[in-house]
Amino acid sequence: MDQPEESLPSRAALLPDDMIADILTRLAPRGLAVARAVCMSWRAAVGGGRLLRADLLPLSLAGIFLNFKYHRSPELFSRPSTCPRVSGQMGYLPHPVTNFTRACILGHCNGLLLLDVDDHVANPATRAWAPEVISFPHVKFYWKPSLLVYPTVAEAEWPSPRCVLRVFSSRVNRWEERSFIREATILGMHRASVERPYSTCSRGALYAFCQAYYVMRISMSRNKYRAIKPPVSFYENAEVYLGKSEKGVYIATCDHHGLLQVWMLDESCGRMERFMKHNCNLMYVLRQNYYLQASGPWVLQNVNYNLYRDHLFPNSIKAALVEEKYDWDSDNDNVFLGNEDRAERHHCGHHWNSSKVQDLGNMYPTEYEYFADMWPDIDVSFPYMPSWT
Amino acid sequence: MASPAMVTLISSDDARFEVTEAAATMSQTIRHMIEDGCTDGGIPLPNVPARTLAKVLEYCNKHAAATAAESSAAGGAAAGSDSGSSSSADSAGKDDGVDLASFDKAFVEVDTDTLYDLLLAANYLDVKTLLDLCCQKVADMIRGKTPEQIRQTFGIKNDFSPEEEEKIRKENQWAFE
Repeated sequence: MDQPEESLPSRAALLPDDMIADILTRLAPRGLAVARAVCMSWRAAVGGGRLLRADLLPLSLAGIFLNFKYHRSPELFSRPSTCPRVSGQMGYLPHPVTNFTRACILGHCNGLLLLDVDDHVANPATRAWAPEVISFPHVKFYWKPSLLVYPTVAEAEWPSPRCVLRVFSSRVNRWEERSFIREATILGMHRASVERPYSTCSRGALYAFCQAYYVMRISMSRNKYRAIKPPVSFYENAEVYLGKSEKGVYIATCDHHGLLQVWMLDESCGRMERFMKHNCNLMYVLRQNYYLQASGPWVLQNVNYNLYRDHLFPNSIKAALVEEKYDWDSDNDNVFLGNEDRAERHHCGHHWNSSKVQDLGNMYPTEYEYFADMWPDIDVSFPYMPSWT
Repeated sequence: MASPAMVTLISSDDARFEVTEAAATMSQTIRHMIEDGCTDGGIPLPNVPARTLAKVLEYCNKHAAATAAESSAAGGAAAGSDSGSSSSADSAGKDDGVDLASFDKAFVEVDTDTLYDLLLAANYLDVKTLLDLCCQKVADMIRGKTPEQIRQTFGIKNDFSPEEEEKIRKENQWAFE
């Protein structure tokens, strides 16, 4: 029966690890997460067996990876958190960032970063990287969480009835081209060439932006895709972001007037719907001088620049990574996106439930002015959720 | 055809069990020993005490008989008809599915120590379906409980330091809400 046989020390505690893993495999993610907290050997079984599927984990935002213009490697704008801190330092990559190389981020999906050095894939949490063929240790078991799509559709017709994507599949441990059939016909197609390097996994499907801000819902198991028309036609210069919150997949936009809008994709009833969730103007929170990393609790880790500078000036004094402790509410909130506003170059977090917007502070790497005195800017940003598996 | 082939199994505490070969060979371990011809004088199972072996054999007898009944009902082949007779009370061929499911369910309604013994025995004897059944039972017992309740149920010692525990709790905050 289910009755706990309290107090008597059961030998069940002594089960061999592989059997514990066999048992825990049968649990849903929530059960697994609880099981992790039972004792060390159970935690090891969950971690070592790669049982906790990253795509089923809810959000745990570690920070935002930022590509800066004129900067050769990204920096992590990290969230104050008691979770294991992820370093955005890219020193583990095989090629040091030099005057001639870059390691900027092209895409992010489920804790993996796609870098523009030979299509390397990096996992900052585990500090592992993979070129085209070498596998991540964790991706053998589940290919979905580590699947990373970078749409290469640039054909004439969009959405085309058949579309070929480059997919990093851990099932085969390499990039491969797979073709997907369009599921439903859609109306109102128009051609444009805007791509945003965002993608996210939710409920077994992968969502990615493609042209004209259509969202592709890609079903990997069925090799089909669906194109979801954007809720409005966005301005070319608006910031558009696709992400996943605890409520589902959403699109957020911020135009150059500071107007933030959020749309959810509603998948209930088997069809997609879009509805506006939030609509607010950010201007009033973005008044500060943008060179101040003022009161924000988030910290720009600012480490890759140092790597780079060390390379240039080996004798320079390293600026230590400052990790200040702030007593803030950020850990319990529902910050779901870091949406950048180009005009003011601040990052804003948006609290889902309270519709509250927070200015997370400004973040520029050391001596960034030196690189980019003309047009300092954030190129693109990626809210980053680490995958520990 | 004569009565079904029987084999003798010897538990770690030297108890002897006579079972049909059909039941015994649900264990891959025993099947291999029989195939290797190591059956003379009984098959020793030094890792399984009598109490547990009896329980495992109860499971194997039931399932072997059900399998036999099923194949005789379906195929009507010559060999099928008499092999089922060894086991005690299996006549119903049609309701076997339901019957077996309820048997399985009742079978694992045991205390955690017995369940632990069964797991180890099923693992050692390599009785896949029994191992599955027991693992699933443990998983069902874990489901819906808090870490502390799980520890109590299985008598597991919390070997985390308070800091570690807090860290894990924070990592998996969502699971505890």
